[in-house]
Amino acid sequence: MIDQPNNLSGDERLDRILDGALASYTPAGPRFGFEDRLRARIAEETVVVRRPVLSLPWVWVAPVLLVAALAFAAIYFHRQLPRESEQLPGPATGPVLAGANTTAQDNSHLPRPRALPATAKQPEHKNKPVSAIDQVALQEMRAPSHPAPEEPLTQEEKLLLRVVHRGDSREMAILNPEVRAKNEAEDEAEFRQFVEQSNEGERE
Amino acid sequence: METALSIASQEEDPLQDTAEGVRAAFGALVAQHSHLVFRIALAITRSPQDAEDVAQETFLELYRGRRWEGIEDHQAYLARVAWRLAVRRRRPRTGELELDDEMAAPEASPEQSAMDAQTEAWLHAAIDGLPEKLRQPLALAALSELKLVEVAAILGLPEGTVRRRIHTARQLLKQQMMERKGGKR
Repeated sequence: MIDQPNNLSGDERLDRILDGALASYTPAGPRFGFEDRLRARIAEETVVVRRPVLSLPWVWVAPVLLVAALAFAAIYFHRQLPRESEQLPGPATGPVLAGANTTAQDNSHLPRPRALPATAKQPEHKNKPVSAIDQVALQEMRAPSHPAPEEPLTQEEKLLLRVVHRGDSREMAILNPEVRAKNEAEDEAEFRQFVEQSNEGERE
Repeated sequence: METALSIASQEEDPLQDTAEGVRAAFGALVAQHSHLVFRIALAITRSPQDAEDVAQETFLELYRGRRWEGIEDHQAYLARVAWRLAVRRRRPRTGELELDDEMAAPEASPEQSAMDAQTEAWLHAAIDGLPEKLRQPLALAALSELKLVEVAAILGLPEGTVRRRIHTARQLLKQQMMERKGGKR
């Protein structure tokens, strides 16, 4: 059984026994080498943190993709530049070419036909050099169509426009053939009457 | 106290890319508080293996963001983290704590020498049988490194509440002891 001091009361003895049990309830510290094990875990975690950065595939794939993209862009633009220079030949190639150059300059404000992608497979005859005349024909063929510029109005059209714009009922009535015929008859009669009166005055 | 972390050679040190001062500071911190952190974890989990894991996790959590540099009271912080991790890890009760032979046993107190192993084991089982809200304050308050106010801070309870729970727990245990004593007669 338990050895207890005899001079203590029952409750005090229980307290001391309980204190003893509580003191041994969490009896010890960690096993020897705790810091070494912690150190190993830190090292392990450090490796785990570092490893993905170097071992992830994208670390190696990304530069390859970048280089491939740059190479593709370089090839693409390298092919585009000669094609544009073919479309805009210089003036030293002769009178026909000079005309072609003028046409090209006139159409410079118009949207150009979209170039085919560099990867598109083209027929062999399209890769052959094109003569200046054919070049002009091709440009005109490829040029977008647009309506002819408006011509100035004729005199009749201008009068008609003026009458319509004014909205005068009497002038508008001229457009009616019956009214116009009646007015012309009245004018004719008035004119004849005037001429006759003039002739009578001269006789007197 | 010279620790394994601080006396390790530079070449084998996993933290060799960190500053020497930081490494030494963390090593000193581990050496200073590992005992308390482990005991808190052991008081809650009642398993030496789990307590070891909890203690390591506690220091790792501190290490990951170099948080110790901005903490004034390392003991309070570590104790709180250890308790939180231990509560999370605590398993259903399986019986009396199995003591590891490698665990460093404390020097025997007069109270311990006055108590035979049978009674001690029975009392430990009785403590384990207490409700958690009574057992945890009692077990933590039994740690000599912690004052009552620190236990209250760890548990996130008012000091008066902790004191009352400890008293209740002790009363329950003493009552059980009396009943056991009476039963033996």
